[in-house]
Amino acid sequence: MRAHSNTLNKRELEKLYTEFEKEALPHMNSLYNYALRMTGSEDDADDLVQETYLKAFRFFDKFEKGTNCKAWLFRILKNSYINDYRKHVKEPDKIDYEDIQNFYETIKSDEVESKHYEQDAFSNLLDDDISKALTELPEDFRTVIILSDIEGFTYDEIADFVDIPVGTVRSRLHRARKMLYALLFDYAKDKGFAPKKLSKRKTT
Amino acid sequence: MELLEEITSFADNELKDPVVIGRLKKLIRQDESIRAEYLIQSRIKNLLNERFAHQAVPDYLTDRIIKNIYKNTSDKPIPTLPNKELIIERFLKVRYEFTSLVILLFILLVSIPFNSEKTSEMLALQQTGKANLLVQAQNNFYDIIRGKLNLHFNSSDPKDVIKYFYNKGVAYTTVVPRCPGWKVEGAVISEIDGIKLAHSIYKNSKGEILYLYQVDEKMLNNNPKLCLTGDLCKYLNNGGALKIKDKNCSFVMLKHSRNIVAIASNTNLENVETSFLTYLK
Repeated sequence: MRAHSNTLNKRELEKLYTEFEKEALPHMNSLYNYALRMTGSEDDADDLVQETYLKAFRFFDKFEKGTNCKAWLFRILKNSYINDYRKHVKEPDKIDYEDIQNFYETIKSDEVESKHYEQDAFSNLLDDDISKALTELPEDFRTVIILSDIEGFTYDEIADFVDIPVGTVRSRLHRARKMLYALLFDYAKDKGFAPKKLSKRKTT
Repeated sequence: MELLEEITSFADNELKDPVVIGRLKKLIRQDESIRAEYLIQSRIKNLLNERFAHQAVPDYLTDRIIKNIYKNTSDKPIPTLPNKELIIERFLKVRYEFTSLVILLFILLVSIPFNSEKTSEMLALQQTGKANLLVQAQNNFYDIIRGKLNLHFNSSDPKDVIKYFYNKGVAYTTVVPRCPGWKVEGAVISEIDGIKLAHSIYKNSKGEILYLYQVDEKMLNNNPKLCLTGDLCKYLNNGGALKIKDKNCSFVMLKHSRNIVAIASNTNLENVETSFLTYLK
């Protein structure tokens, strides 16, 4: 805000606000949902979205008109999350992809029939279990799976938001779902919803 | 593209080439491991989509964001004076110039009395009458410690208290800080001519009470039922904090963002300063 107040007069500032209102505010729902899933907390999501919008307005004169405002806002939110939020929050232990890959090989070597994937073991899990599993994913993987499977964005859009190639989006998404599957399978097994035969084996 | 990642693209309807799509469909039908891969991808995708319905931004958050942006748009639009850094820079450029030194000394001399305890006491003495914010804060606080004023809302979470204020119609941004050593107990909302005002109460492990009363400074303009003296407003606007020791109680008044905040406690003033004010940012 101070950045503008030193350089713009009242009329210019109000014009900037009107443009900001038209361009940036319609994307608040998407940003809020993303923040909610990244942080796992309504309060933190509130803070993160508010911080994002205040920063976005502060630097709105730097936003290139005609480009993707939603992607620009997502990048600000992601940076705010990394720089501000994550610094103050103890990250939960993250799972290791190698570990998951090993689990996956175990499934295949057990020659499991595909009905194991189709049966509804996960439907008995609570939303909180799924949220918890989601927060256990490494951040880069969590980001793409949220944007794709919860927000419904295409690979191209995600690539634009996160600033990575489309191929990387696809690769991360592929791995993220497998990691999440393994985590949820463990939760379901612990609660007796899934066959005990399959278990996530640790890499030795 | 790796075959398994192609399966992911297929599950996401990201493939366009009908030949590739046909080949993958055939593989999924015939190859158990490919089928398993496809089912994992689509099962997780559907699960997340079903379980996490898109949530709308809460109204209070939209409102708060818009207010915060708009306040700064409409209230600080035209910088008529250069900012502090520019003033200092200007003086540094002519640092040996006598006139500049005289002006700097004058500014220092003028600002020193505003921070002194004497000024604080003088200003405190001028605050009288039932409409005075400081008087109201003191009276409310005495009512709280005598058990005459009960909480309207109980919560130990400052964010719940802020939400409560918002939901109950407090029309300005409120602050309820988290302070180690002080636990928020809850809130009270009072009303003057239909305007809702926010009060929050804290307690420490010794059972001491700290009461925080805050109003938007605009509410003090020409309001016969809520006021402060002009000198005190000016003092607070210049960054001063009014601090009063009164028998076993302490009172502090300061400006926080756009709010005038009155704090009253039966702990000592030093404790209020070190354990509470430092967290009121």
